Formats: sequence, structure tokens, C-alpha cells
Amino acid sequence: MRPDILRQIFYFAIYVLLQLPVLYRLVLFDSAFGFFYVGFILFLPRLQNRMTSLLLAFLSGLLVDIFSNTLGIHALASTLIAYVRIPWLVFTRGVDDDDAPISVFALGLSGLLLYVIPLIFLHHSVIFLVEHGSFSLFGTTLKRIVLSTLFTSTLLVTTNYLLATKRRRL
Amino acid sequence: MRKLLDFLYKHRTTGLFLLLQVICIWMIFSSDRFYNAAFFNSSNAVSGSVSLMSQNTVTYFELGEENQRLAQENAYLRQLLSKAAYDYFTHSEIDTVRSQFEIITGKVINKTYRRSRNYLTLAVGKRDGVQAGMAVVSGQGVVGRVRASSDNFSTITSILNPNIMISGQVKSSGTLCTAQWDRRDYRYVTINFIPRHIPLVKGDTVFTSGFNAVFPPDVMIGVIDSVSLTDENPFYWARAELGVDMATLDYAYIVKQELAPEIDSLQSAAIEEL
Repeated sequence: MRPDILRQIFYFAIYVLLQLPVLYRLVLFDSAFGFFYVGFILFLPRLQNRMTSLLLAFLSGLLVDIFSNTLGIHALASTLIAYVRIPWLVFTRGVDDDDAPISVFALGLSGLLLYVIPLIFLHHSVIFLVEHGSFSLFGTTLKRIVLSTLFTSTLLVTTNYLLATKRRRL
Repeated sequence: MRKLLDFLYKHRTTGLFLLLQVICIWMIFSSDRFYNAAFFNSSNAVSGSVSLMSQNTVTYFELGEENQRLAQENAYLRQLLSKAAYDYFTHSEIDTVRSQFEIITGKVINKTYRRSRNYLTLAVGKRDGVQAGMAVVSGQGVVGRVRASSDNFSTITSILNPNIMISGQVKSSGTLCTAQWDRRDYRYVTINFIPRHIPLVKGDTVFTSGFNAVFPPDVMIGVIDSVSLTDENPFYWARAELGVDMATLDYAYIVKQELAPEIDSLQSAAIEEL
């Protein structure tokens, strides 16, 4: 259990703490924002106690909120995907194999994309719609959501390749 | 009772989930109250220090550009200074109006300008005399308003935030108007409430009116970029290109109005009499 906790602290440092000072500066094509910290929530191992992952998601969302002056918005979106991610994973795989780690090597690239992209889309939709506060200028908001989803997904799948290789060797 | 407890225990994860969602929604709707605490925003000490560190690293690579911008601004300010000296000798009564304002220079350490509601963080705070509600300007024009400040950092509501409305004045005609961002493009703001009988053309400049206790008068807002007038509308629809370029903004000036409390109390007294 102990190395597991250490590894999660390491992931938290990579995903969440790197987001705050560095990755908010990364904006592509004026509309694509990389919310890289979502990776910490999506790649948390399947814990016996799902309440822990809910609380971790809430806290990392709140941390990002404080940095970006969007109090409550990131926390809302993060707890939402933390709640639906395991049911969604089971649904996309069709089988409930408890032990399989959530990584590109266990799920395959297509399996990982199928798991990651809809959840990121949901997360980003909540963020941009709540922040905008209305459905006016829906085209602009939709463009932001779609481009940001692609951007974040690319970042996360790449990172997962890098981090999950290490994990297989352990 | 037993069954109820069993039910609650069985669905405790869902219960926690709903509780957290309710907390988040409550925070979103009452964020103004949280801002007064100055902890739950980018001006708190930890967030400010991290942003400052990150910004210092980035600015190191942009020193050349920054130098050039500062040199331009310097030239502009020198020009103003010579004009001010002229004013001082010719109409010395203006001097009391001028000395109402004190300027606090702040480095921009964190900013957004492409979101629907944008904020900046400056590396100056209460210790430097910054207080919530003060105006923020730059050499090129209006930047925003202080929303919250801690000892060393402040969060600024950018002019690129629909919560902010700025009282302006068209230079050519002296007409009052209101500038507000329409959440579309970070280079433009909408100019509202210019009545249709006033002539308004592309290229007119809009300055702050100084008719409130926040912004000093004659600070550039923008230049009218497109104008349209429909038959049924009593006001123009107009868009102005912002004087300030949020994308390259490195330094901003916080304007402290020495007489703000006096103006405020006079105005509220006048309103009470009505």
C-alpha cells in the first residue's frame, strides 16, 4: 500500500502542481486550454473506497480554482468525472475486471481514448458552460470545449505512455 | 430507522458526491463573499508566490520585448509630463484635481484574456496600499478594477470581464457612454448608450469620464472600430478596439483616489436627500 501512496503523491506533483504555474500558459489557437490536472483524477487506481477519489478530485479542482479565480467551477467538474469514471470504464469495456490498471498498456490505445475523451469532454463542457454562464455565443463555447478536449486528451495520452511504461517495469 | 441507516450507508458514495456538488454550486453562486476572505483567489500568498516565480522565469526570456514596450511608454509619459508642466504654468488651478491620484506600480504575474471571465494577478498588495475597488490602468489604457488583495498580491477583475462596466466619454462630442466586454474578442469592447442624434464615426476615441470615484478622467478606453444604427434602436451599437493589449501586458498601475471617500459620502448624501 505504501509505495502506492508514494506513487500517487508523485502523480499529484506531476499532474496538478505542473498545471498551476506552467500549463495554464499553454493556449493553442486562441481557444484550446490544456486542463492537464484531469489526468490525476482519470488515472487514479480503482480504490476500494470511492469516496477517497471523490475527495481527491474535489481538492485538486479547488486548488486549480483558487489559482484561476473560478471558485467552485473546476471542483464541480472534477467531482463529477470522479463519480462517473469507473461506471463509464466498466461500460466501455463491457467487463468488470477489478484489477486492471487504467493505462494505455492495459486498455490499448483505442480503449484508453474511449475512456478518456468522453470524460474530458464532459469535464470541459461543465467548465466552459458554467464559466460563460449562459448558452449565448454557444458556437464560441463549443469551439473552446472541442479544441480543449483534443488538446488535453493528447497531453494526457502522451503522459500516460511515458508514466505507464515505468509502471510496467516495476 | 435501521433500514434508513442501511440505505444511507449503502449509498454513502453517492451521498458524498451530491454533497460535494452542492458545495461547489454554492461556492460558484456566492463567490463574491469568498473573495472578501482573499484566500480563495489568486491573490493568496501561496498562489501569488508560485505565479510570481513562474512569471519571473518567463519574463527572463522576454526581456528584450519588455524593454522596448517600456521605452515606448516612457516616451509617451515624457510627452504627458511636458504637457502637464505646461498646464501647471498656464492653469495652476487644475493642480488640485491632479494630485487626487496616487499611482502604485504592479507587475502582472498571472492573467487570462481568452476566457469568458478574465482576471489578472499583480504582485502588489495591501502593504503597498492596494485596496479592493481601486482602478487599474496601464500606459495604453484601462485595465480593470481590484477585486481582492492580500498583503503582497492582488486579484484584478479585467476589463475583459462582463461584470465590469466603465463610464466613458466620446472625445469628439463629449457624449457619455458605457464600455462593457461582450465576451467575444479580447481586443474589443462594446460601447453602449450613445444616443442616435449624436454623430459618431469610426476612429473616434473613448476615454474614461471620471464621473465616478473609481477611474480617473481621460484614461484611454479604446478607439471606435465599427458603428451601426438600426431604425428601431434609440442607441448606436458600437465596438471599440481596446487601447490596452492584454496579451502583452506586463506592468499595470493601480490608481488610488485620495478623495474617493469624500466623493462617495457627498454623493450618497445627495442621493438620500432626493
